[in-house]
Amino acid sequence: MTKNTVYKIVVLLAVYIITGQLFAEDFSRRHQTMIKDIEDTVRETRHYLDKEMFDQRVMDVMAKVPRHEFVPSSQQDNAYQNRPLPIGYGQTISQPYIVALMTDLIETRSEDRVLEIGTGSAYQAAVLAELVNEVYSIEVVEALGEKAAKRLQRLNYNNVHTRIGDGYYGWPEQAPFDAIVVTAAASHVPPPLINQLKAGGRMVIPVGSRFMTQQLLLVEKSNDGTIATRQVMPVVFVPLTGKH
Amino acid sequence: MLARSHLIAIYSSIFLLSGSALAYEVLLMRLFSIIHWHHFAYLIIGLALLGYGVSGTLVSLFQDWLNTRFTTIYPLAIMLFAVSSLGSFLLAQSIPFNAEVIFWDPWQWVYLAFLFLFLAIPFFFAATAICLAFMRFQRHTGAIYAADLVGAGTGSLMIIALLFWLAPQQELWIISLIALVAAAIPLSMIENQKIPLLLLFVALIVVLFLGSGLELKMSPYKSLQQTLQITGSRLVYQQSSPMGFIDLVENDSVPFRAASGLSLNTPGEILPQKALFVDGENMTPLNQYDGDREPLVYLDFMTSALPYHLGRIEHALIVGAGGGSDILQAAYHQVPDIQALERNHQVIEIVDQHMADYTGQPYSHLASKTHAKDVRDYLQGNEAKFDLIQMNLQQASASSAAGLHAINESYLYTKEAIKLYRSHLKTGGYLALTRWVTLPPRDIFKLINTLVSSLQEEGIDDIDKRMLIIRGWQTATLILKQGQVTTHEIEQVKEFSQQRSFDLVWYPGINIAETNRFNQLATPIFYQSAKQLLTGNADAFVQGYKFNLEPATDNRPYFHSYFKWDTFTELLALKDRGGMPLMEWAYLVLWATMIIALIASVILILLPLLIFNKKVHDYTTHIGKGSVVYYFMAIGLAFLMIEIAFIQKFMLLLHHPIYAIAISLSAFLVFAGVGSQFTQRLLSWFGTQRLIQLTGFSILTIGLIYLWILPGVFAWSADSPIWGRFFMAILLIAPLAFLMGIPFPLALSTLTRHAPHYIPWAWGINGCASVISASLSTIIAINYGFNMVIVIALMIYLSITWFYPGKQFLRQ
Repeated sequence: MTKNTVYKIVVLLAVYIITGQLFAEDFSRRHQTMIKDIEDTVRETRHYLDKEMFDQRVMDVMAKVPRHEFVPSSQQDNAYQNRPLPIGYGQTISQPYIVALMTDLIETRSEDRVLEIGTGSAYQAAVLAELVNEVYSIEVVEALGEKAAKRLQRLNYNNVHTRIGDGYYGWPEQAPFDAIVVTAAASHVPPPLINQLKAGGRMVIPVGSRFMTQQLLLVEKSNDGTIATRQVMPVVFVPLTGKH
Repeated sequence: MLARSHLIAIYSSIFLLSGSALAYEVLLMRLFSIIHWHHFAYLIIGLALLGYGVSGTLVSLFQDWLNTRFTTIYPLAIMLFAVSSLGSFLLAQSIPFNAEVIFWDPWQWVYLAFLFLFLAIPFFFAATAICLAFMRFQRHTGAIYAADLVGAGTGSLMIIALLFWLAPQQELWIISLIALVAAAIPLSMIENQKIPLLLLFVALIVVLFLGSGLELKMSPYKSLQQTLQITGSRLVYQQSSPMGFIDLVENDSVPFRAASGLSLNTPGEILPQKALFVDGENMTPLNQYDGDREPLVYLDFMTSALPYHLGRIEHALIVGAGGGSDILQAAYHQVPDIQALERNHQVIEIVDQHMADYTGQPYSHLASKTHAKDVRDYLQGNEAKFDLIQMNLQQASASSAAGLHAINESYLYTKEAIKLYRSHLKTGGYLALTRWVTLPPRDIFKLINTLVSSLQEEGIDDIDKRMLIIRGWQTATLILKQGQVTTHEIEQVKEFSQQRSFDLVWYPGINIAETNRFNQLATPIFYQSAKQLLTGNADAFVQGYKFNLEPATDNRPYFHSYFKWDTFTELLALKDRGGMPLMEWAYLVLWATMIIALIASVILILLPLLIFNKKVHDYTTHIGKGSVVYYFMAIGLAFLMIEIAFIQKFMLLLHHPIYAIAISLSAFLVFAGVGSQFTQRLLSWFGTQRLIQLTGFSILTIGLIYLWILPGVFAWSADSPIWGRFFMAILLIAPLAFLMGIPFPLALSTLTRHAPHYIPWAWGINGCASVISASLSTIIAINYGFNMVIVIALMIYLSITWFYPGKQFLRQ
C-alpha cells in the first residue's frame, strides 16, 4: 500500500466520521423537535383526547426509535418532519403524531403480545417492540415485507416476528392478542381479527387515505366479550361555532 | 391575390391542426384522470392553455421576421406540435407529482409548475401556427377562425367517440399523426420542398418511435396500483371508454373483501370477489354468486339493509348498481321486482357477460329489468312508482367516475333530484340514501338540510316525522318515508340497529340516551345536529357550522363542497396536527390555479408585449390599447364561461357527462365557427356598429330566455329518445354559439384595417382570459351557481358593444 493510498483512506475515514457525526447530531436535534411538536399537539388536543399527554412510555419510545432508519434514503432529510412520507410501492410511513396516538390508544403493557396488520416500513412495529413483549406483523406486499424484516433484524428488534401474506385471518397460531394495530386500508373490521383479540383487548384502525388519516377507529373487547367502538378524530376541531 | 388552392390548403391545415389540438386537450383530461385525479386533470389542462397566450406574445414580438418566413415556420410549428404532444406527455407523466401532499411538501408546487410547463409546450406550437395564419391571411380571418372552431368542434367529438374503441394512449399517437398531415398540407405552397419534407419525415419517425411504446404511468397512490402490489393480484380484463378506463383485478391468494359499512356482529363470511376499477379508483366488487341465498347474509348486516326491515318491499329501484352488490342485497331480501340502474353500460356487460359464470349475472337473473341510464334520466322518462329507491354511495360513485367533470358536480343529491325521487315513491315508500361517515360530520348533515329544504318548498312541515337515520362506524343511512314513520317502523329500526351495533341518529321521538352507544364519538353530535336541522333553527345551525351545509341545487350542484373561508385559517393552523383531511384542497387548488394563471398570464403574455413590443407603441393609430385589452379579454372570459355553464345545464337534458361535454362542446365550437364564417357577410349587411350591437343584445336576450325556459324544455323532452335530445341540444346551442362566434373575427377585421400590429395582442389577451375563465367559472358556480356564471357572461357580452376597439371608425 503506497503512502498516497493510506493518506486517502485516512482522509476518507475522517470525512466519513465527521459527516456521520454531523448527520447524527442533526438527526438527534430534529428528532427532539419532532417529539416536542407531538407533545405540543397533545396538549392542545387534551380536552378531546381526555388526557393531558400521551403515556410517557409511548413518548419515550417515540424519542428513541430512529425514524430515519425506516424511510428510504431519498426521504432521510424529511424523516423527522411530523408528516407521512412515501416509502415506495405506493405505501407510506405514517405521520409520527398518528403513530404515537395509535400506540397510546391501545394502552400497551410490557407483557403484551400485539398483532400488526400491515408492516409497511416497520416503524410502527419497532415502536411497539420497545413497549411490549412480542410483536407479530403481517405484510401483504412481498417486497415491502422482506425489506421490513431485514430492517428489523439489522436494528435488533428481535421480538418482532414478521410474515408475508393475507392479514384478514390474522395470525391464529399466536392468537389471542392483547392488542391489534391495523395500519393497512380495511373496508370493514375483519371478524377473524375480533376473534383473535383477548377479552379486555383493544384494536385500532386508521380511516382515510394513505396520506391523510381522517379518524381512528378504536375497537374494545370487554371482559364479557362484547364489542364497542370509539371513533377518535386525530385533530382538535369543534365544528360548531356556538352561534346557533 | 392568393391562389384559391393555397387558401384551401391553409383552411384544411388549420381545420386539422385545431381538431388535433382540441382533441389533445380533451384527451389529456382523460389521461390525467387515469394517471392522477380528475379535478387536477382539469386544472392542469386549464393552465396548459397558457401556451395559447404565450404564442400570441411571441408572434407579436417577432411578427415581421416570422411573417416573411411563414411558409417554413407554419408547417414547422405544426410538426413541433405533433412531436411535443407525445414528448410533453411522456415528460409530464414522469414527474412524481402527488396532489395529496401538496400542502406538506413544497416540492410538489415545483412539480406542478413543471407539469404546466411541459403541457403548455404543444399548445404553444399549435397556437403559434394558428396565430401566424391570422397574421398572414388578414383578409380571411373570418374563414380561418371558422376553420379553427369547426376543426376544434369536430376534434372534440371525434376523440370522445374514438375512446369507445381505442385506449387513450393509442389516441395520443393518432393525434400526432393527424397533426403531421396538417403540417404536410401547406407544403404544397412551397417551391423548394426538400428540407421541409425531410423535417416531416424526421418528425414522423420521432412520432412513431415515441408512440410505439407509450404506456400510462398511474400514480402509485391510486387504489388500482396499490391493489396490484399485493402478492397474487393480476389484471384479468381491461376496457377503454369515454366514461373511464376499466380494469378488472383478481387475486386467488389474497381475495378481495369489500363490504363497506359492515357490522362488527356479522355472521358468516364475505363472498369471494373480483375488483373492478374505473380510472384506477372507485373500486366496486364483483361477487362470486352461485344462486345460493344463504352466503349473502352479510349484506343484511350493512346500514343500507335497513329499509328491507321496515316493511314489505315489492318494487325496488337500485341506483348505481355497479358490480351488483346492491342487487344481491335486494335479492337476499326477496324483493320480487328489482329495477337496476347503472349508467355505464360497460360495467353491466362486464358483470353480466364477461364474468357471467362468476357473478351469476345479477343484472339479467336477479333484476327484473336493467337500465343503462342515469337515475334522473330514467325517472323523468316514466311514471313508475317504487316501495324503495335505494342509493348506496359505493356503487354510485364507482359508476360515476367519468373523469371529465370539472370539480365533482353531482346532480344526485340536489333539491330538485330529491323532489323527483319523492314523486316516484308509492305512499309509504322509502328513499334510502347511504353515505360515508365523515368526521366532523358533513355529508349527512348536508343531505338532511337538502331534504328539509326540498320538502319545505313542497309545503311539507312534518319532515322530522318522516325521517329515520342510523350510522355505523363507516356508513350512515338516511331514510325519507313517503308519509309519517309508524310505531312499528320505529320498533324495527331499534331492533335492526341493536342487533348490528349500529347507532340510532334519528327517529321521531328519539331520546338522547338512545344515541351514541355503540360507535361512540366524543359527543352525540349526529343526534344533536340532526335535531337542530329537523326541529330547531336549521338556518342558524347551518350558519354556525364550520362547514358549508347549504343545500345542493341543480344551479349549484356541488354537494361535496363543504368549504367555508371562515374555517380556513383554523384548519391551516391544524394542518400538521391531524387537520389536513379537513382542508378540501381541491377547492383551494382551484383558487391557487386561478391566481397562478393570472400571474403567469401577466408575466408571460402581457409584460413582454408591454416592454418589448415597440411596434405597438410606435404605431400611429386611433385605436386605444385599453379598448383592445378589455374587448378581447371580455370575449375570452365570456365565451368559456357560457360554454362551461351550458355544458352543465345540458347535463340535465343529456344526463350523461360524456354526452353533455361532447355534444355541447362541439356544438358551441362548430356553430361559433359558422358564425365567424358569416361575419363578413353580416358586416356587409349591417355595418360594424349595428352588427356588434345586434350581436351583444341578441346574446343577452337568448341567454336570458334560456335561463327562463330551459328547465321547462328539458322536462318536456324528458321521454324523448336520446338522439332526439342530442338534436334538441344542438338546436338550442346553435343560435347562441353562432352569435358568440361573431365578436372575435369582427374586431380582428377592424384591427386588420386600422391596427394590424394589435392582432397578436388580441390573440394573447384572449388566450390569457380563457385560461383564467376556466377556473373563475367554477369558483363562481361553486359559490353562486351556474345561473350567475351565465348572467355575468351575458353582461360582459353586452358591455363589449360599448368597448369595441376603434369605435370612432364604426360610423365611417
